[in-house]
Amino acid sequence: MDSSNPSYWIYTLPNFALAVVMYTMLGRVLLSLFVDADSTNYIWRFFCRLTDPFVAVFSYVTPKAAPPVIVWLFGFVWLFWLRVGLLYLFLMMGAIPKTG
Amino acid sequence: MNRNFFFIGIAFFGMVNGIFNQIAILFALIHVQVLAPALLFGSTGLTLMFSSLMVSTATIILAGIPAALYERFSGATDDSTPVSLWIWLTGTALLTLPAMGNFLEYGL
Repeated sequence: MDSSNPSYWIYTLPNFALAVVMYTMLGRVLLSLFVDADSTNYIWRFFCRLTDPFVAVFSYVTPKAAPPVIVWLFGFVWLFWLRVGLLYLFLMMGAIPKTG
Repeated sequence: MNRNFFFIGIAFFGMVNGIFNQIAILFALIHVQVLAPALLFGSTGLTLMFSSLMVSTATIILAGIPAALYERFSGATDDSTPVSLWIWLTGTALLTLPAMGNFLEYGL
């Protein structure tokens, strides 16, 4: 792909942002095995700060029986399927740059 | 009914859909290879298992949406109610219907 093409960045930037949140969500799940929920560890706080807005949205459509760690894992899967949806949205708009 | 039976049933239906829904797994497999290749070290086996997990979890998540909305509108504040758990279980069972043919044919 030609990164000098503006349409490359129109798709890549939101996809990259969602990927960052998706992997951070997974990191939060893994880190929760080692640190307390109210830990002051700066990595933990960064993970929480980045993912909390998404967790709030996903917990709205998740039954209350699901504990927080399950909501985080659901959030990881939500973000993966959102990236698939984004890919199809841009494919339908013809905004995905051609390769080669 | 004991709440654990709800969770076992929901996980069971999700697992069946994740293993036996061939179209959904193929769809997930293609997109996992495109969107998360580095996560699985390029291993085909791991990618297939991860795709299956994505389908299973998506089944449970989708079925949980009406249950969660019911909880919001019925005013459940602390925990799920038996009605919402029934909605969740029924939703996963309905979403698993396309995979039930393969499940009954091959079994676990």
